[in-house]
Amino acid sequence: MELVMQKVNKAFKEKKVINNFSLHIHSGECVGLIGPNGAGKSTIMKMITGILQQDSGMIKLNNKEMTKMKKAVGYLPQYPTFYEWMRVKESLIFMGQLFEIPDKTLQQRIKELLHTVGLENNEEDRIVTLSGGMKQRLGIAQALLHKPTFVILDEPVSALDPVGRREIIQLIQQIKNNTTVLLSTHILSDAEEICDRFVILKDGELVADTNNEDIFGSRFQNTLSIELVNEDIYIEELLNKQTYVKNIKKQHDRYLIEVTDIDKNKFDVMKIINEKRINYKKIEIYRENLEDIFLNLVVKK
Amino acid sequence: MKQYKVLLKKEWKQFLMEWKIIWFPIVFILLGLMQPVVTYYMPLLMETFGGSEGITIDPLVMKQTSGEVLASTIGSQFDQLGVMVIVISIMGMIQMDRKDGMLDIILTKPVSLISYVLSKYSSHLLLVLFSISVGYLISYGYTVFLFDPIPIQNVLLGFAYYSFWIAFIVALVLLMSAVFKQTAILAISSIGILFMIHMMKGWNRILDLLLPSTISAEAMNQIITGQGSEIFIHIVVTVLWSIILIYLTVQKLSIRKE
Repeated sequence: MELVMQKVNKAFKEKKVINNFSLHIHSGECVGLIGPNGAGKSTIMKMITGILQQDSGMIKLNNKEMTKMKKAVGYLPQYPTFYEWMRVKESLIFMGQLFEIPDKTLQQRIKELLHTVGLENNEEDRIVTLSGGMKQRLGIAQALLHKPTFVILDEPVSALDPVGRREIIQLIQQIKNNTTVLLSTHILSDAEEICDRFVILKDGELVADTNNEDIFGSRFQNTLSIELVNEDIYIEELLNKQTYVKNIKKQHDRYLIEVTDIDKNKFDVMKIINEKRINYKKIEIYRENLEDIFLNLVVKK
Repeated sequence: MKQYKVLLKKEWKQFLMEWKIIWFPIVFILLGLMQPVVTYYMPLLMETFGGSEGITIDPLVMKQTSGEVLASTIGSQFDQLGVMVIVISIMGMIQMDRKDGMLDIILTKPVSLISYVLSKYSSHLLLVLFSISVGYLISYGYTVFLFDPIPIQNVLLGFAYYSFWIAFIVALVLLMSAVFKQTAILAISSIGILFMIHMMKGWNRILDLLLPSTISAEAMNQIITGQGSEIFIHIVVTVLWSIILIYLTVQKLSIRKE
């Protein structure tokens, strides 16, 4: 399932919320849409599902208008909503019937999904009695009910406790094996864990489109990260004298030491630190992670 | 069509869950009962509570025919308090789905807007018509019991004509429910428009032909005299108005700007 968005614009009254946004998601990809609150993540997702109309630009799924592809798309909104007077199973039956799933298949599918999202013991509970986390799981079940080939998940784990979050992450990892997934989140470690590709948004504009290879590719750059127990002003002076040190940068509570050859010089740096008995918390080869990229692009820009 | 049936079934389940299917007819039973009972016992009530001293009572009021009593159930009870009850009870039909996001969820499924709107309209119209018919039946029974019999043809035709006016009211509230998100504005504007349409009745003949409320007066005529004038035109006009309102509702919901 392939999604193409080209030069999409959207404004609410006078305020432009999406500006010339283009995105191409290939079949089988799992893409994380990342951005601070108000960046336009939910608006983009709502335009893809057809809940909102774009002011200009094109959105197509497998080269067809989204309105003709509803059966292929599963959508979990940021705040899943249901007819709260319904029971869990009843709600899924209602949704399944809207997709015209045959009764027998639907019953079987509901059983599977309730087990997958951990609600098999709650199928007769009224939705109004469910906790926020349980509603989120039911929302995921509802989005996957018709076996969509393109799944859109808007902040799927934001309302969950750590245990629930872990379970949902595992669930998404399962579904991404045979489904194209677009998920939005502001929990960057989750995105990094689940997605293969990251699209970073700021003020409705695309500021970066990167993937795991780019991020992990930077792992072997020639930089060491040193976190000290106490701030030691001499470390900079000490290391600056070394010919193999190219640059020293202090970032938050760590020093980033750029050297000429990481494989060789990491032992030299360790030797100096041990000889001078400098207390450290952690020494590691620095790799730029998603958070660094995000902070760099979104906060500093 | 399949989705329409699923949505219709859901609406009826919701009526059951909210007890609407019980209390809505009860309200109309009480309204239907009130007119013949109050009319019949009015002289006795006047006498019991302070007598009629100092009050001049139009002698014609006391001599209402049974047809007039039943017609007054429509004109005085259903068309006034009844309309307010209808508006307030059904005004959330689309507004609630818009407010809590259910409309968005449903429209991400392979459901057409027409199926959605028609399921809302037909289910609510059926509920209202069912409730009114029960109230009307009770009113008819009491009128016959306390006064004189009314030709059954007049009773049935009168109700049939009145149903078109109800169909228009439900269509108007449907549109308002798609336009306004705030309950108070929705209620005031719906009742306000219906009140204005009612008030405009009788201003001039051409306007009367175009007003959907004229059919309500024709329904009363039918019950009292057994005759209606230009009834076919009034039916066509009212049905057309209802279709226009339903069409506008679909159009309003298809514009998804916010």
